[in-house]
Amino acid sequence: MAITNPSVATLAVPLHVLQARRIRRFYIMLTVFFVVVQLVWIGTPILMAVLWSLVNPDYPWSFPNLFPTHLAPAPWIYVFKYTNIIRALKTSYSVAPFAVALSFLFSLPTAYVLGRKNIPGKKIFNLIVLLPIIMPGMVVALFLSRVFTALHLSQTFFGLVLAHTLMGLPYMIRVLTTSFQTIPQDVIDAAENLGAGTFVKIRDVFLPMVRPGLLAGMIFAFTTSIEEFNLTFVIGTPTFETIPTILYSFMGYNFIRTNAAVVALVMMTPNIIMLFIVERFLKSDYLSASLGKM
Amino acid sequence: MKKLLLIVLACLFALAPVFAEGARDAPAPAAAIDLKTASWDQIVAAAKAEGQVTFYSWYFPDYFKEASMDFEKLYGIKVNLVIGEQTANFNKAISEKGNAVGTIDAMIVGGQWVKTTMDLDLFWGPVKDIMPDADKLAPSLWVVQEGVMTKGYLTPFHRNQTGILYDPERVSNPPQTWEELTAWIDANPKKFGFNDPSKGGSGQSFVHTLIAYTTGGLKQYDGDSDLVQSKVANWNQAWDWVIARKDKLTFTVSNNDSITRLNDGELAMTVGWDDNVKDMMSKGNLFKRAKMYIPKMGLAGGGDTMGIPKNAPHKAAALLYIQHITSKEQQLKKFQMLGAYPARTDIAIEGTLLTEADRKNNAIAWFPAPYKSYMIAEFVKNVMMK
Amino acid sequence: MKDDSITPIHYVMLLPGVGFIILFLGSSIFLTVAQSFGLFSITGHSRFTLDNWKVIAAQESLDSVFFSLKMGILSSIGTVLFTFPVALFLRKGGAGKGFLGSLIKIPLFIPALVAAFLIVNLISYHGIVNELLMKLGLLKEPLRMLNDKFGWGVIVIQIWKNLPFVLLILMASLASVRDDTVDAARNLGAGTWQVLFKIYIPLTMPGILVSMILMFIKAFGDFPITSIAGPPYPSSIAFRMHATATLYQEWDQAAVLGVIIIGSALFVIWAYSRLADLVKGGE
Repeated sequence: MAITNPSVATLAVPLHVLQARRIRRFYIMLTVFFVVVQLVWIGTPILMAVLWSLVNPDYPWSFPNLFPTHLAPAPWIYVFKYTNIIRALKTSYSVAPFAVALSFLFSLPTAYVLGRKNIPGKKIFNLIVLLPIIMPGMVVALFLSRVFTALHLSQTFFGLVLAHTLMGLPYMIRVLTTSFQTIPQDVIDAAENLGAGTFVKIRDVFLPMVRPGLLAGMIFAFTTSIEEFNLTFVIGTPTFETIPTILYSFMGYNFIRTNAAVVALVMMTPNIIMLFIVERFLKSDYLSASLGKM
Repeated sequence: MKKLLLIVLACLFALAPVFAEGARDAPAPAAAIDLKTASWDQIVAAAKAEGQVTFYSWYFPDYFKEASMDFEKLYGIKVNLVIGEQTANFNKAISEKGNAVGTIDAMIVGGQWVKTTMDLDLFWGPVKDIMPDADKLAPSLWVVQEGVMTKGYLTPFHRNQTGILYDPERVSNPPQTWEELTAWIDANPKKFGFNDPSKGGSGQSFVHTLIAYTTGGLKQYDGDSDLVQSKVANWNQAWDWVIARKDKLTFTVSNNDSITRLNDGELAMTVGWDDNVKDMMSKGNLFKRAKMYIPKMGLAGGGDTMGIPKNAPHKAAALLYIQHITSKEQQLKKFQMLGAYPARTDIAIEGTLLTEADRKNNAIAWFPAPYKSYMIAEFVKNVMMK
Repeated sequence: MKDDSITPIHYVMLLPGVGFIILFLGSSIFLTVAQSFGLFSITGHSRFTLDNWKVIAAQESLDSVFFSLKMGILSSIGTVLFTFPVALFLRKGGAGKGFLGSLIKIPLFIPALVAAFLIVNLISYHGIVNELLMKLGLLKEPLRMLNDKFGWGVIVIQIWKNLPFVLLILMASLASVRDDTVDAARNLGAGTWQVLFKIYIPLTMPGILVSMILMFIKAFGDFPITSIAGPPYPSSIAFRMHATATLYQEWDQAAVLGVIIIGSALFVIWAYSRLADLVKGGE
């Protein structure tokens, strides 16, 4: 609907610009709204955890106090003094990167075949690939551990890495498979027509096009490794202690909220820092992919 | 960018063989002496030769860390202390059962796991005749734990007791008899809670007493090694009591959850373990004014023990460590640090949550284990499901 | 769209992924199935029998299976429904969206057990949610939200924890939808709903399917979250399996429940895949 009054037309802003501004403002308000919602949705539980981690043992926090009356670093001191949390942090964060790397290497060929080839039995393979996470925790702890022991992988770092890789594979494979599925055939054909060899195809066509899915898979493999408990406890302890070992000792049967809060916060902090770093990688990928620039 | 990623990945992967071996210790030397007939001094010497001991617990990280440091100073034997989680510890022990050599030397045994592990014949022993001062440790706990005959395989190191925990600001006349408790619950809907027996021992204790009062006492089950069907025929009376009050009772999801809800003000009275309660109070998780007692109608108690798995690589060191924890000094220390009731009967202690009089007069023993398992299953079937 | 020539090398390429998994899991699955029939029993008394399978008929087992299925299906559908609009919104870059994206992703890095504990803290009887609602005068007495009978507590925690997980997958999927395609459709006169149902959803169906499947598995087999926030009855099927073995000392019956867990999960996954095929086929 164009502005027809000529005298106003020279002074007023064109309608489509106004509309664009309004839409942009709407999106900005929506963004702000979501940010606030998120800050509450995520911030409140975390704030509570911070408060619980600072409860002074001499002044228990109970109803009717909405906030603890006296704060003290006692729970933090307790956790750092009586648990091997530093050692656990080191172990968890050294196993995870290897597990992610191995997951990536093991998944890539499999995901390619399952994503782009009509291999017979594909449906069954897609199901088999999910088995590590379908298996009940008890079966994992009791039976899967025995396989590792039989292969002399118990109580070894490499064994732990393999165990975590195994548990992360389902995520990595399925997500990568989906990514491979959506690569348009014409891009591959074009590359082939230009005489690209296999390695070049992998490096310059496949890898860039599956990058968003790959990064998602790597994040899942990473968090799976950090959280893995059942198998790790059986084949890892006493030689290796990981963060979930300490977490479960305060959160399972013997639930003490103040100490649990400390362990939770200690676990979350490096993860969240990493998250902001990873987010930089992800943002650029989505933008360029959606604009068709890949 | 992708090049960098690939290079980093390749480097990481190349480093893996560096870690491939890990800190695996030399295989345990076969015990040079027969531990069951050796003298205690010989056992101590053998323990020192073994050089290390791996011990699994799931609670009291502070006490065990201190106790382990004391042990290392005393004997020069390294302690690998693992504070795990109840279920995980036993899953590990059970999964290692078939191995020639396990990784656990000694572990705490308690709860329903006593029956599970004794049924699976997990432990080495009996150790009662090997332990010096065995007679000074809670005699009943050497024989029966959680209703299971433990035949001297498990060494008592800790005693605990369930009691009624309440907020004195909201309960003026704590009930002592079953009738008084029933009246209180009816007058204060939803203010009394306990956990479903499949989720924790405090709930088991309460239901145990419930059965005592609604089915004609516990004496009738004494000595039974298997469930006698005719004796449980009238247990529906117990379930009816609960169902009749289902909307006046609050079901919690664990021992600690009951205490947390008391702290939170949702409950005014609940059932708890004295060691849990003391622990939570001292760590600021429960208000200090909370009081605990064993009512005249009786509530069950028991304790925890320590066992040595059959395939433990360092059995002499394990024996020495258990003896260390059950020594007079360590038991006193445990009490002073945590207020946790010792298993030793020959030390004087003051300031317990539950009075000695209560413990002597009102604490009751569990009925045999088959009835306990049956009770848990039937509670779920007849009460929780309805 | 797919190159159909299959060479032996393709089978070799399956080895690191599928082969590795079968190598390690094969024996576990075999043992679970065998124990369900009474063989290789942990208790040492092995004999072939079908008796253990009677445990499925027990009301508690059925209730637990259906409860876990309910949790799995509702959590997976709920999370995808919540997340899809967020993914669409974040698709285009914009002021503050990077920060918002990071914020949303935080729960991904918080372990399930911690997530359950954090949220249960909020909705406890005198927790901050109740206190606020009472201060605002909306409530006279606190709501008892903990351990509700239906399982909404569990579902809320699952959505809280897994929203970023599904978001990552959906955004990766959406990234493959080219703007030119959407623009072309718009130019042909397609309205917003048509673009949504005829372009976005079909093109991202593989991503939707994968995220629903993975979320279902997590929620169906969950143990920690349901133990903390779930109803007193029924328990999750994972807990029931654990209790059968360790509280009632019926190890072989527990193996049966294990087989049921694996079987039901595979069945639902197959059902989801067929559903996705139908949706795609109808376009």
